Amino acid sequence: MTPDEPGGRPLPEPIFNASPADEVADEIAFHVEMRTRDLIARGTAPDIAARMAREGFSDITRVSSECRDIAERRDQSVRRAQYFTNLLQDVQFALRMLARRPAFALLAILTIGLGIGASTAIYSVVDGVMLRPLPFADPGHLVAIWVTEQRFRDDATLHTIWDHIVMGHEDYDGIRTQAKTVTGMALWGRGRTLARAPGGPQMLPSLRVTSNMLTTLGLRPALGRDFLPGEDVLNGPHVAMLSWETWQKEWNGDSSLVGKSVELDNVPYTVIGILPRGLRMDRSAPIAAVWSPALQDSSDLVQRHNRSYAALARLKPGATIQQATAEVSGLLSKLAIDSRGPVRGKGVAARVEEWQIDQTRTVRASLWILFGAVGLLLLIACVNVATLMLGEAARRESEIAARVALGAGPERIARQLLTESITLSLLGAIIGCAIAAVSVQVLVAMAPAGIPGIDSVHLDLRAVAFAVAVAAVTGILFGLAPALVLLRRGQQKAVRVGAGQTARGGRAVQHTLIAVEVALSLVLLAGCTLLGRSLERLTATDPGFDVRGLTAIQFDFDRELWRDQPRQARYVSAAMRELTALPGATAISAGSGVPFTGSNSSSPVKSDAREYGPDESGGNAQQRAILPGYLRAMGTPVLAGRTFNDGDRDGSELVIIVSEAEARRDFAGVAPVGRRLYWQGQWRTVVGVVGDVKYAQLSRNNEPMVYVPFDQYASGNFEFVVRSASGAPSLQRAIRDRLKKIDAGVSVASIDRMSDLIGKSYGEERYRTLLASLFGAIASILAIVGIFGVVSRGVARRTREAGIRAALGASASVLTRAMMGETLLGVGLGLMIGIPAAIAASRLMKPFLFGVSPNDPVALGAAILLLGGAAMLATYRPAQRAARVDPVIALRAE
Amino acid sequence: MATRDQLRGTLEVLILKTLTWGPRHGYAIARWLEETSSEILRIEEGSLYPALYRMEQRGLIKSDRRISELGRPAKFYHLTASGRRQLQVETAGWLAFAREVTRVLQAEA
Repeated sequence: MTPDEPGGRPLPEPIFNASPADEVADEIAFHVEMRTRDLIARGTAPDIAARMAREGFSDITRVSSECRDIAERRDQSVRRAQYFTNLLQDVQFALRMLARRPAFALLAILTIGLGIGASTAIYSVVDGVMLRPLPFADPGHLVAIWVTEQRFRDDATLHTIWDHIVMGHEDYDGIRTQAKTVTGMALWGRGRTLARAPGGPQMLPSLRVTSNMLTTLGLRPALGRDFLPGEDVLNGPHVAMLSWETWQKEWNGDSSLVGKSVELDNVPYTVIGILPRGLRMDRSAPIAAVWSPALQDSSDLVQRHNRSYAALARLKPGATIQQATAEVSGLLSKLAIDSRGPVRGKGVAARVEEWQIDQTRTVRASLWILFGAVGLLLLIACVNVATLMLGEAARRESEIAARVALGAGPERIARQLLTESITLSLLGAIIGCAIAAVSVQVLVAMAPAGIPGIDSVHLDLRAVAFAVAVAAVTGILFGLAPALVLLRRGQQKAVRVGAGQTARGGRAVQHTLIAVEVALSLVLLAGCTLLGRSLERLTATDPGFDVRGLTAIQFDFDRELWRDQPRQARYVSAAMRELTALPGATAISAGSGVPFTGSNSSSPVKSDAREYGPDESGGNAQQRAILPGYLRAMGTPVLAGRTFNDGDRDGSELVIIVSEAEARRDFAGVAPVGRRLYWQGQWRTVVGVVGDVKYAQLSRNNEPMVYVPFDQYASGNFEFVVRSASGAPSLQRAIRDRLKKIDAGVSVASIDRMSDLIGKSYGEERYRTLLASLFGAIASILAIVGIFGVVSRGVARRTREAGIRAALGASASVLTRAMMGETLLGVGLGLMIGIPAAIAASRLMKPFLFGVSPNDPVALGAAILLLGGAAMLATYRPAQRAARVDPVIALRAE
Repeated sequence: MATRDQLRGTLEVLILKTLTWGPRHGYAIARWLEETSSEILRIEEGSLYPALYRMEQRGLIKSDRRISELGRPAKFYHLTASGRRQLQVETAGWLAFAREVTRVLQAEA
C-alpha cells in the first residue's frame, strides 16, 4: 500500500493537533458526506440523501458534544502522560550530563548532602531539647521559682548555686498563700527509694511532691486518683503513685495494684494511682518511678534550714514574669527573718523563669552557638554549590552556544539546566537525609548525660524540608542565572569567542565566593581550635590526687541506716576489713564526698586568725569526713602538719585538716597548724594543711575544703576508694562479692574507675569540642573543595595562555605563580575578612573556654595556617600541572 | 432484557471485531456493522461515535489520520494490543455464555 491509497499508511502527525471540537466536527462531517454519497449511488435524491445521512445521528449536536467531552478528557490524560515522559527524559538527560562530569556531580552532591545533613541533624537536637514545648497543659505559663542569694555569688563554694537555691516548707506556705501573680505553686524534690517490687527489691529514682503537682501540670493520673490536699502534711498517710513505666515493667500493668500496698523504704505505702505515661519532671534525669507526698517528714518542718525542694507554679493570666519575680522576691525577704532571727541573708530574692527555659539553661548557650555554627556550615555549603555551578556554567558556554545555534529555544535550554540543578539538589538531599538520620543517632548516642530531653530527639522533617529548599534554591539560582545571561548575550557572539573568554566576569564572582567561603570557614575553624586548646588544658589539669588505678564505690542506704550512726560505723569498719583482703589492692579508704562521685556538702567556717562581725557567719567550705588513711590513699599531698591517725576518734580532741585554699582564705599570713577553726558549732584544732582537690569539675577554681575524722562527725554518707593495678571488671566483681553480706541495709550502687568519673565530668566539653571539630573539618573540606574546583577550571581554561608563555621562555615556576595569583588573592582576602570575624565570634565562646583567652593567638594562628596551607596546596597542584604542560599540546588543544 | 451496559459491551465487542481486519474510519465501521448484522443489532451513529471515543480514551483502539476514499485525510481507527486482548476475552465469554444458554434451552424435560 502507498500513502495515497485509501486507508494506507498513517499520515505524519500534524504540528498542531486539532482541537477536540474540530476533530469531532470533521469526523461527523466525513461520515455524513460518505453516507450521502452512498445513498445517492443507490438512487436517492441528493437533498433527501443529505437529510437522511444527518438523521442517522438522531441528535447530531448531542452526539457531537458527548464525543467532544470524551476527547477532551482523553487529550488531558495524554498531555499529563506527555509531561511525565518529558520530565523523565529531562531527568535522564540531566543524569547523563552529570555522569559525564562525575567529579563535578560528586562534589556538588556531597556538598549539598553534607550541608543538609549536618544542619538538619543539629537543628533536630536543638528543637528536641529547647524548642519543642513541654508536654503539659499551657506550658508557656509554667514557671520555675528559685531563691537567689546575692551573698553566695562570690562564695567560693556556693557561687554555683546562688541563683537556683531550693525552698523549704515555710517558703512554700508563705508564697502560696500570699502571692497574687502566681497560682498552683507546687514543690518537688528528687530522691531514691527502695521499692519491694514482685521481682525483688529495687532502688528506684523517686520524687516527693506536694499534692497539687499534677493539677498544676494540667495532668490527671492514668489510673486511680491523684494526691489529696490533706496528704502532704506532717505524718500524712503513706500513699504513693507509680510511674506508668515502672507499673508496666515491674507489675506488668496489673490494674488491681491500685489500692494495694507496696513496701517503700521498708514502710508499707498504698498505691493510689498510676502516673500518666512518659511523665518526666526533670528531662535530664530518668523518669521518677515513685511519687510520694512531700512535707510529711518531720525534718521538713523542724529544721528550718532543711530546704530541699524545687518550686513550680503557673503564672496567673495577665501577670508577667517580671511582676512575679518582684512579688515573690518581696515575700521571700519578708520570710527571711522570723521571730527567731534571720534565716536567710540580706540579698535574698526570687528568680522566676519559664520552666522550659529554666530546665535548659545550662545547655542553651552552647546549643545556640552550635546552631550558629550549623548556619555557617549551611552557608558555606551553599556558597560552594554556587562556585561549582558558576564554574560549570562557564565551562558549558560553548555547549550551550552550540545548542542555541542549532535551534534549541531558550525555554528548552533553561528547562534542561533547571532540571539538572534540581536533579543535583535532589540527589544531594537524599544523601543529606541519610547523613542527617545517621548523625542524629550518633549525636544522641554520644551526648553526655544530663542534656534535658535528648532521648526524645528525632530527625525533624520540617528541618529537612527547609535545608532541602535552601540547597535547591541555591542550586537553581546559581545554575540558571549564568545560563540566562549567556542566552541573552546572543548566540553568535558566544560561538565566535569560544569557551572561556566571556567568563571573566564569572571568574570575579567566583573569587569573591572563594573569599566568602574562606572567611566563613576560618570562623568555624578558629572556634574549633579554640575549643580544642581549651579541652587540652582541661584534661591536663591536676585534680589534686592520684587518679591512676583508683576506683570509687558508691552505695545506696536504706532510711534507717542513714540515721543510725553506730551502724554506719560498723559497716565501714567491716567493709574496710573485707576490702583490705582484696587481692591486688594497694590502698583502701573511705570518706564522705569522694571527688567526682557527685556527693558533696559544705557549711560556713570561721578561723581564730580573723575577726568577724556579729552577724557574719563566715565563708563556706566544702566538708569531708574521712578515715585516717584517706588522704594517703588518694595521694593528696600533706603540705604541713599531719594527717589523721587512729588516735583521732570520738571523744579525743576535735581536730580538722584544711586545704590550701581554705588556709589561704581564712589563715592569711599565719601558719594554720595549731590554730583553731569554728565549724558546725564547734571549735576544732587544725592539725594539717593538704593540697587542693577538684571534686566536681576540673574547670572550677579550687574551693576551700576541710576534713574531719569520720569517727568525730556523723556525715550520714560515705564512699570507698580502692587503688589497685588489676583490671576493672574482675575488681568490681570481687568488690561486690565481698560487700554483699555485711549489711542488708547497704547495697553497692556503682563502682567506677576514677578516670571514668573525671571523664564524665567533662563529657559536655568533650562533646562540644567534638562537634566543633566536626564542623571545622567539614567547613574546611568544603572550602578546599571549592578552591580546588575553581583553580582547576581556571587553569584548564588558561592552558593555551600557559602554552604560549612557556613557548616564549617563561619558566615553570613563573607560570605556576601566575596561575595561582588570582585565586590566592581570593584566599588572602577571605583570611583578612575572616580574622576579625573569627575574633568577634570567639568572644561568644568565652563561657566555654578554660585556660585560654578567646583571642588566643595560638588557636587563631593554627586555624589560619591550617586553612591557608590547605588552600595553598589546593591552588598549587593544578597550577603546577598547567605550568608543566607541553606548549605544543597546549596550543593544539584550542 | 439486556441492560444499557450490556448493550454498550456488545457494541464494543463488535467494533473490536470490525477492526481485526485492519484500520477503518468510523463510517466504514458503521457500514460493516450494518451489512454483517441483522436489524436486531442495528446500531445508531448516535451511539457508535461516543463508543469509539470512549474506547480510544480507554486505550482499546487508537486513531490516526490516513487518506480516505474521498482523497483527503480522515480519522482511522485501529486495534491496540489491549483491544485485541479485550476482544479475545469478550469473545470467549460470549461463546461460553451462548453455549450454556443454548444447552439449557434445548434440555429435555
